[in-house]
Amino acid sequence: MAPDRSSLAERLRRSRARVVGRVADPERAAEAPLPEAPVDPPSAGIPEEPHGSDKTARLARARELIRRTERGWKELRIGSPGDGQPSLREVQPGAAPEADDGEADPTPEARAADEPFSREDHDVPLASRYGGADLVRLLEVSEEAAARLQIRPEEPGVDLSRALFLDTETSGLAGGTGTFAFLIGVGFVEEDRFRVAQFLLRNPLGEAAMLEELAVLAAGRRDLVTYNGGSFDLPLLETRFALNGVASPFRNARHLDLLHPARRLFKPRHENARLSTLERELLEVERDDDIPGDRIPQVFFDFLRYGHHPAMESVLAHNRYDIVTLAALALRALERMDEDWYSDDPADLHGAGHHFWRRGESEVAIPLLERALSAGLSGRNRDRCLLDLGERRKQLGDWDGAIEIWRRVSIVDSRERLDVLVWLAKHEEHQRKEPARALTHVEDALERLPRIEMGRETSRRYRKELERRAARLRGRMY
Amino acid sequence: MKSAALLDGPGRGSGASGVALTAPERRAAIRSLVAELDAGAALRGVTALRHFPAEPGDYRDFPEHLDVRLRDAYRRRGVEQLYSHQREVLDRVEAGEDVAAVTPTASGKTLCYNAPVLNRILRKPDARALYLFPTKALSQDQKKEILDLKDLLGEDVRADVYDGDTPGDARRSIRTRAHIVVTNPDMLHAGILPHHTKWAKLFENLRFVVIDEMHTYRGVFGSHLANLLRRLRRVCAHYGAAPRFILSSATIANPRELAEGLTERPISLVDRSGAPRPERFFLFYNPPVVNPELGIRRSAMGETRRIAGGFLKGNLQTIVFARSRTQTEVLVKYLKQDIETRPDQSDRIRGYRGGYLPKKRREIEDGIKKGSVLGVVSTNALELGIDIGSLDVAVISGYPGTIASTWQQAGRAGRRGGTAAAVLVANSTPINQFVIQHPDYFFEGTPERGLINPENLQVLIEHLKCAAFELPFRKGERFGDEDLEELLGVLEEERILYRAGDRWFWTADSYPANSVSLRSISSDNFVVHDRESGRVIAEVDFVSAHSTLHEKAIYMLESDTYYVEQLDHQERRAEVRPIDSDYYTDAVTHTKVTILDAFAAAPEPSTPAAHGEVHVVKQVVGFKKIKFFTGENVGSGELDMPAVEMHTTAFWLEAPPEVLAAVPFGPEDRRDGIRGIRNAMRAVATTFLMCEAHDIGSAIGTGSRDGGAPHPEPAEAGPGEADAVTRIFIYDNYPGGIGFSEPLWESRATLLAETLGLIERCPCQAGCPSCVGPVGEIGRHGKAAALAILEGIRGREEAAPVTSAASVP
Repeated sequence: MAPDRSSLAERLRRSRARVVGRVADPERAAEAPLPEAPVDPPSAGIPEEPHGSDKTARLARARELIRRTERGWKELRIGSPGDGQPSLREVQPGAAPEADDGEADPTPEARAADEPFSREDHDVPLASRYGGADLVRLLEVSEEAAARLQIRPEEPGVDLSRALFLDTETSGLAGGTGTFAFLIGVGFVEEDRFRVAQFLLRNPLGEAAMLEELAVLAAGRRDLVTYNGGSFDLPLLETRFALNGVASPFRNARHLDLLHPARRLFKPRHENARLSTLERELLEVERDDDIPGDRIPQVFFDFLRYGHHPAMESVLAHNRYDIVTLAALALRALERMDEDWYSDDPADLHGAGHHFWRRGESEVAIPLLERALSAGLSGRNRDRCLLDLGERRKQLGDWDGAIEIWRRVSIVDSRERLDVLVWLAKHEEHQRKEPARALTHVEDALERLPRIEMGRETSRRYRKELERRAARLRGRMY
Repeated sequence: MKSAALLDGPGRGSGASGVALTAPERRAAIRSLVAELDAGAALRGVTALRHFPAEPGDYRDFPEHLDVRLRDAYRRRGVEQLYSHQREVLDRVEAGEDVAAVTPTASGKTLCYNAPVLNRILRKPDARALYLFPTKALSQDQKKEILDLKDLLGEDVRADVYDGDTPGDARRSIRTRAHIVVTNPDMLHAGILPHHTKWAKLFENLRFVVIDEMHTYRGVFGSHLANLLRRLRRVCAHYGAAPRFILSSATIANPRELAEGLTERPISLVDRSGAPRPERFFLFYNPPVVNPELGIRRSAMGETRRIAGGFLKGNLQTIVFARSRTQTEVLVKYLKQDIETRPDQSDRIRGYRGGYLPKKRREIEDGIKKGSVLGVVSTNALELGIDIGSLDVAVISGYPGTIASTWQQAGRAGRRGGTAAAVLVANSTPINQFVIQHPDYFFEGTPERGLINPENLQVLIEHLKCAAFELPFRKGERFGDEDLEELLGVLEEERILYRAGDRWFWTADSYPANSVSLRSISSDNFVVHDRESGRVIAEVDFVSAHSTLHEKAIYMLESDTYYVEQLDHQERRAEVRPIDSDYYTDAVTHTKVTILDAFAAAPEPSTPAAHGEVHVVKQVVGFKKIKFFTGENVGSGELDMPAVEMHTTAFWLEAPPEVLAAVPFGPEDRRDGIRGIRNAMRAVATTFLMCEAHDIGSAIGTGSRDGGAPHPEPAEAGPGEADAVTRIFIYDNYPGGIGFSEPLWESRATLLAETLGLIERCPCQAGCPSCVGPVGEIGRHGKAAALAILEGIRGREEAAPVTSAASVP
């Protein structure tokens, strides 16, 4: 069969030309723009349909399809089909928020005059105190001390006096090559100041140039501090560097992702470990008029189109705040690495104790955990603390002591309860050689599992692990 | 009785003892069983028996350009020579051509792509290849195959499967180190291309893209794949690579056209198989009519059980293909009962379908290969290229829907140098009855065409968005044949893209691949929520939801029935409750088709037909309650449902008023006749198009000759009717159309003749589900009227044998 290389669209167009006077919709034909001069001379005697209506209609449909987002069929009003206006749930991706609309259109000159990106620097004197931290301490912290913030003991520390505190604002949270950082902020110590340099993309064409300049600034600074940068900002920037053919300055950087120690240290006391929460509750910094994070991409898109946007300054300020807060939070976290750190807050004591316990520094961890308990730790924190303390006894070979502690776990349906039941099962199986008793603990855990609130993935992991254990125990019994 | 004799079969005595037969014994057993079945032709069971003599293979030497290490590895696997088609593929790939190989089952197709790919990797260890398989199971199978070869090669060639099941920690190393990445289109679409920077090593060095089972990429799936490949080529170009394509396909009518449509490159076609063919018998079996009045036949399942049981008792390794998962399980149960009569015979019969765990599937596959499994009942899961070796007999319960699939399934039987038998057992659907009564359509006819429409606007736009997300578009860039700048302009106006200089950048806070499902046009599904268990039990696509999930509907899942309490359009959710119902519901849908634009109309008066763009509005207005088993209508209800509409393409046949006026029937019977033609034509069209039943829709409308102002159903006889043309529409059930209507128009004469033939040859008296529809739907004169109208349309002078039926009261 001879290949038909032309596209279907072309074939449709050609077959259209064969139509003999069959325009079904006179209204639409009337609306169509004047026929353009046909590109190919029509075959003799066969009138050709106006070429333009075809194209216009297709583009109109394209627009409609895009507006309709992913909907193939659309719903009409109930009742007489066909003659009503479609009751579309109009979702217009990318539509400007109304409040921000109505800005004067930028003249082409204004847009052309813009540099593709801009850099703005703001300085904070190192002598200042922010969020309960003296910024000057950034110069004093040793790498060894900073290393103790890492949740994994094998991770190296960073040199805060030479590190870049990095935070990006991006066109979205989805990841992938279509998401980019339009604002990259880096904070660093510059003589007697803490400087925040912000690179703002004003035209997507300028991305490579912006990244190059960032790379120049980053040269010679091999350390990074971020908040969730390990999962978000850094992979995203790696993608941008790769796409723009710029060598990444961050590839082999030492990195402190403060989110992880913050979760350990601060979450027991504060409701969550979001940077904004900790800023408010721990650093006691009040931002006035902060822009909500989910509005940021749209502000940028509008900024791009109009050349300016009233909320853009808020976005820049938001990013600056985040960076200085990051530096302050690092210092506040480091306080707790200090031998002299003292607190009578049971949750804080537990947080620090747990952090050190997981790092394997049990001589530091255990006194903190014990103090937390005697200071009146309660609820889940108390159960967690008991788990750690029991595990320590077990580590020392004192199973009976361990079990005594674990039995004090109080919440009936919780992850901690599951962990205790697993420990008890292990004990029955391996120490006391009682698979039947072990199995009752595992079955107890499995029964509780559906009632416990946790992520789906975690829940699945628990179930898998428990079921495997149960199957093995049953095998041993029969 | 014949059937009793068959059950006793030649395996008698040693019956199902598990003692393997020798080749001549096997041949004798198959011949004798086929003869027995054919002897039943007296009962009109067997409608065709074809004998295909064995054909020798056509062999060639390994080409010089194939690395000697690879030649040795294949020799160690027992491949001393190549089939001629394998050699041809190797030579053409070596010459730098893009090749599509059309290969029958068991003709060594994997060598066609593995050999050139491995050859290149041996020569250049940096080279990479991407394999696309339509299903995950096939990917695993393929990986095993490559790894076996690799062991024989003794070289460090890495092949890895990258799909939704790949563990997170393995992914990183696959991205950079796998020479051959085996995946599926869905993963390429949502997991790989949008993250191409992580795959830089693959794309920079990509030399081959292998697309196996190409024939599965037709219709919507194929239209998506064509666009996906545009995106793939675009990303490759960004990394400076221009991979060659190697495609393999089962036999279809237009392999080159489909391959070129998918890849948009000139394709070199290799379609002459050099593989030897075993002697093969192919039987068509139609279960006998037990109730001539209602046109009811004996059940295909029962007949399959009987026929397959006969072969199995003869100790012949048999594969049974069933139409659904439920049917598979039921047949396994039956056959176990019949065959596994002693405890030591357990697991001689196995089931096989999607949903079994991979480990279990491997075990069954091995059992078939080693012969410990005598009989396997499978869904079409075993139709595609999973390696189970060859069996003796294939029994196909229900026409698989396409000629190509049927040959694939039949091809599972056929040992080298042996004798094989395939039996197609028809069920009562019109398509089955059409095929079983037209053996020539199957045996002599060309197989189906794989049709795609990559320019379907909705599909195109989704992929344009994905492509823009992956890399900014540049001015002058091409994406298919599209006038890109205008569409990009629209996306820019809608603020999804931002134009800077001569480039368009993605500026939306979203991940467009997530909102596109490659296996349907719209990913807009309704979930079915069981209030009692609190679980989501099913997902139903947007269009079907209207007719199956309306309030008060009985929703059926497997064999359970649920009562629909509420349908929430906003939330796309149906609330149901399990109920023990003795009836099911059948939605009454009004469909209105308006012609927007006729692309072409037939000049010949014998087949007044056209195709073009139409506007379809569908509304579910009510439902009927139908009692299970008796089919009795036990109630009805009205519904107030929103209408749904779409623009699509359609083919239509016209019944001019003078033709209708000339048939000796009243207006009511004429309407029934038109409905009957619609039902039969739709069935015939489905077989023509190689599509699923829900891929096309049908409707009836009347309107003026120029196509304006049609009515939803033939209007009451009124003053206007004299001038009105009645039209039967067969439309593409996808917004924008998927390319079905033009081929229907091109083959309109055949379509009409075959529709007439289906009705004429059907033995029912006045209509049945196998032709025009049951009497309950089309009335007592519907069949006769349908024939008369069709004859009238074809302009025959007289329709004597048919109109005589009109006198039947």
